[in-house]
Amino acid sequence: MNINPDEARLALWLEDELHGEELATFEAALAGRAELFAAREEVRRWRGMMAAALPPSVEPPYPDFFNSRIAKAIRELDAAPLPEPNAAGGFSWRAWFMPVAACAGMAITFWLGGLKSGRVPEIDVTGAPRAIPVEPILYTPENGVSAEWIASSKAAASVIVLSGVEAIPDATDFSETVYLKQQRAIDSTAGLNPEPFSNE
Amino acid sequence: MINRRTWLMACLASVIPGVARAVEDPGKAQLCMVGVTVYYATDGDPKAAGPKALPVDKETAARLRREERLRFKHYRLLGRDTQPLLRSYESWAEPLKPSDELMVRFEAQGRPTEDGVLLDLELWLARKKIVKADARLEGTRPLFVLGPEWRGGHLIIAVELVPGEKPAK
Repeated sequence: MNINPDEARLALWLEDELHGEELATFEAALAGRAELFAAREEVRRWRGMMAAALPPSVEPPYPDFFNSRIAKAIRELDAAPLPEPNAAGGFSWRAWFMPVAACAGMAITFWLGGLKSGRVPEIDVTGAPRAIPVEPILYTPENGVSAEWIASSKAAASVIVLSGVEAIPDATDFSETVYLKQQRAIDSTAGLNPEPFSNE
Repeated sequence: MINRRTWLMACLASVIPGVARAVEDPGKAQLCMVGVTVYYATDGDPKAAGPKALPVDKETAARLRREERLRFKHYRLLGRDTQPLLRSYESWAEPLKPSDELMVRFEAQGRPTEDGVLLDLELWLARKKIVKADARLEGTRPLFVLGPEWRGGHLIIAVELVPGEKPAK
């Protein structure tokens, strides 16, 4: 019998999580699907290799960093269109192999990161050759907005001039900013040296 | 249906037990401090900025006037925020806090040198990203952004390195 097994049970079977009668029934249904048995052997081989190479649990060296990058990757994944299912309805063992391989790669990275933490001096790139400064690339995602970059030698500053930006409503009030409250409380802070009537 | 993403999450959950227990993260190292200041610039009545807006120091006003596109009769200080530049994480400056009308996001693109630092910089207005730039900040060379109109004038956003100021722990 040659059927297209449901993926949930197939996943359990690949992980050797099916037992007893359910296992026997399922394997009977897979008769003639040699590629699935080969895939299971591959998963077993990976599992054995990882069990031999890694400790039972691995602490990620910098969880916040990995979490932020993982969250970003998931956001991007959500935005991307899902791939079309296999047109032939068959099973590709690569669909299972890739996540396992990715998982193994990440686990090994965590492990190596933990081993290297605090032992390898960082590379100081301060003296490395610097790129030739070029005009920065500006990107304005909003429709109708454009930006112009100016290297102002007179003002000794870089200037970005925005055009087409929607005006802030006049009703918007910025008089309650935390910074200005602090200013009132301490009268003045270093670096500001206000001269109220110097520019009028 | 178990798809690839579910598998990936399951693998992560099995490989990363105790994620909440962190070790010291060098990505959170503070490289330097970045100051974001918002000025109100107008040729009209500067009182439009409100009675609490502060005058701008003479040196800054003169500097702004030297660039034609930033030349106005009056300048007022609306707000300022100073945030650390982190090694691997983004930072957000909210110079008009508690208002989130204007925010600046920045992230290091490399280590600071004696000459300055290269940043991935974004200006957000009304929670929308208006401009993104790879800006180079140098000790005495700030970045000015001539921003939106407001009350008959313009907002000017200044982004600069804050010399001598140690990052807050």
